Amino acid sequence: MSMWIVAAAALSGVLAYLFVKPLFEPALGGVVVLSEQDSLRSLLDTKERLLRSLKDLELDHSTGKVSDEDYQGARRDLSLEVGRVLSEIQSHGGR
Amino acid sequence: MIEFGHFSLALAWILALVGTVGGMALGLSRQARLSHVEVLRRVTVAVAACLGCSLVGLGYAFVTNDYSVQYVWQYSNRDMPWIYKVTAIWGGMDGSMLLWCFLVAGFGALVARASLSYPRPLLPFLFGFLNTSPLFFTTITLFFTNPFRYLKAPMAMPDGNGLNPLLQNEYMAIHPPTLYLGFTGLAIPYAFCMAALASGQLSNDWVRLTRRWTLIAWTFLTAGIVLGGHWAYLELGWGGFWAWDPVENASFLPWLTATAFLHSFMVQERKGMLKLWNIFLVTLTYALTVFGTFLTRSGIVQSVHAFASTDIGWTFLAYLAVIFISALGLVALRRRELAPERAIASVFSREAVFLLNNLVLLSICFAVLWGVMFPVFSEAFTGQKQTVGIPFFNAVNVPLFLALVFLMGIGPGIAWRRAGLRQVARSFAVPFVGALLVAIAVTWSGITEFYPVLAYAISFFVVLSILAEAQRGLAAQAGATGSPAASPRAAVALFRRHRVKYGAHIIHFGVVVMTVAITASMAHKIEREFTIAPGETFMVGRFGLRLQEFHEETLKNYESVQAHVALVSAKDGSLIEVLAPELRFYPKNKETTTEVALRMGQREDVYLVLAGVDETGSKASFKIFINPLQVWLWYGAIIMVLGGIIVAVPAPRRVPAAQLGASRVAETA
Repeated sequence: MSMWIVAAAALSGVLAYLFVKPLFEPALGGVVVLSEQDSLRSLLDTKERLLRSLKDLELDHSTGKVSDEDYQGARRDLSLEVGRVLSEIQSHGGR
Repeated sequence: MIEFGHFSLALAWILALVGTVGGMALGLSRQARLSHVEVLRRVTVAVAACLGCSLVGLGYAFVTNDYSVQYVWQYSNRDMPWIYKVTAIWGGMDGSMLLWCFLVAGFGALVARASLSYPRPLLPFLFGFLNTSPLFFTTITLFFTNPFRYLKAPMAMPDGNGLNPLLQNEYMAIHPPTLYLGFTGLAIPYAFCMAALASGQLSNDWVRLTRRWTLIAWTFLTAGIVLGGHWAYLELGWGGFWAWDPVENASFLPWLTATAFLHSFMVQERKGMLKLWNIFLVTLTYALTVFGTFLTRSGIVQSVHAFASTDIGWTFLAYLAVIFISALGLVALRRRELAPERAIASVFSREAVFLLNNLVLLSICFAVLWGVMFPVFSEAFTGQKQTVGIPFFNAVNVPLFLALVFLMGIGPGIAWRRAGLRQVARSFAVPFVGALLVAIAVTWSGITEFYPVLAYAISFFVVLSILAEAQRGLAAQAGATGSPAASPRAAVALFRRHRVKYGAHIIHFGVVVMTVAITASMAHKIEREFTIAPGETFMVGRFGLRLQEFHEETLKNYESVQAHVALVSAKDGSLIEVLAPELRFYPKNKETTTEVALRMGQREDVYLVLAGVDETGSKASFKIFINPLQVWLWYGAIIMVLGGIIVAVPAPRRVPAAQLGASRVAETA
């Protein structure tokens, strides 16, 4: 038998084993729901974005790129928005 | 081994097909078994493993001089050093396609390995789309450009044709793989983007997960493009590094759009804006990498870098159509979720500057694309092929590039959301005055052309903006911590705290260094042609060139004539260096190449080409180029790549002190 046939058979065998193995692993017996629209995920995303905007605003203010007046106004708006999103997240059972 | 390589390629194709179809089918179902998702993940890794085996099989055929294989016979011979036998794997179209397949699948495998922490609903489609690129390219390789075909010859061939002498250069070992890593890496953001659209998982996750992969690809693409420029500079003997050649442009186009979306991603992450725009940019970038491959391999345009023309162009066009149609379909499906969450609050904001930066980058992209395709369009509409040359590209792109560099100075110094006019004026007063003084000084020194003066002034403006930004950061840090503002320790602390931000500043600084170098080498270049006999001297700039002697040599692979030319100071005649430009003749390829003699200096490069020796051997003709600040172009590129690495490398995880203490106790025990 040619060497290449042995090598090809070995490669195929190893791959087949690796592909079949997960099908019999109990830890992988669960399912992932794919079609569900995750509104909590979306809210957490918004929260993350707002907190990042607040951090950017603090940084821009501390480096003198935003006036005190603009800073106070923007901070108030963002804080109100963060509060609204946090209460929505809580109503969805998230943290 | 050649059969094993061929078998591995076929197996990779089957697995890529399974990965694509399986991923899409699983993604379309309402729920998926975790075990099936895991099988898909393993299939994605296995495609790369099989293509790696295939590449090893082809490499083995080259190293062992297996001339029964047509591709090996065509691109190597026994006299070639082993390193060029390895680089010959990608010296022709068939092998380069195989390398492409391996790299694109390799990126897919790396993503698959990292995917255990990704949102699970994204995974089936992600694996499906990660396998589409390997599927397309392995289809081309297996069925159209198969490098494992046997040579149809009545008898065994004792030796091969040999590699194109221009490609027998150490840069060919690193330039194509680096460039391909850049190209193929850009398939990853496309896969994430399409998977997010198809699965409806359109939160910021896909943008966040994509950014690092994009940066890695972008860094490789930057390095690959510059290495290509360096190869052209050293090897082609025309004194330049970039000629707006169609194939050079093909590598540049996706770089422009990738740079655009690296900036606009930040706006989406922070403000929930530009969602549709980012999808457009990601899709366009991937399409441009495919288009670049099409351009290089279809014979549609003439280029020194292009492979032989083939009839596989239609497959690329069909694939491009699939890319755009599927993206359009998915965008139509998700149009409601792609609405922006807010509008740009002020033109004096960083998001507005980023948007402007995107528009300039896209304008350059369009101008370059128009120039590349102009011969095709002109032939289609007028029946005559007309080309646009360097003057067109420079005329359109120089002002756009300067605008882009200027925006690099503006962006970091302006606030997100809305900046007050007074703050903007305060941020940019010093850089603006500095730039004005540079413009006056440069004009005073005798440089009166508009663009060079503007380029130097804008470059200085950006450097001052970066320094001013760092200074403001240090002052803010000092205010918050009470530590001294200006100390090396404070600077290191600031850099570590805002590594991505200052990494981006390093990239911008690299661009500025390159801008200055390009401006100087283009605007103040000296170019002369001359013929001298041994003992005669030719004066140029602050140098003299005295021909000393000729030296002939016959090596295993080629015959060479070297001219030994003393580079002397025009001021006092003292010897600086002996330059040895060379003409090489490769008998097997029947080709002559020039080997440039280059003296790189911080102030200027002296670039000497031996154009020819007369029949009696008593005189030689030369071309000389004095390229000011040329070496700074390569330094700038190195700085850019370093900045890219700094931004792309993940931050070290901060281990809580308690946990650290516990692990130390465990180690001691």
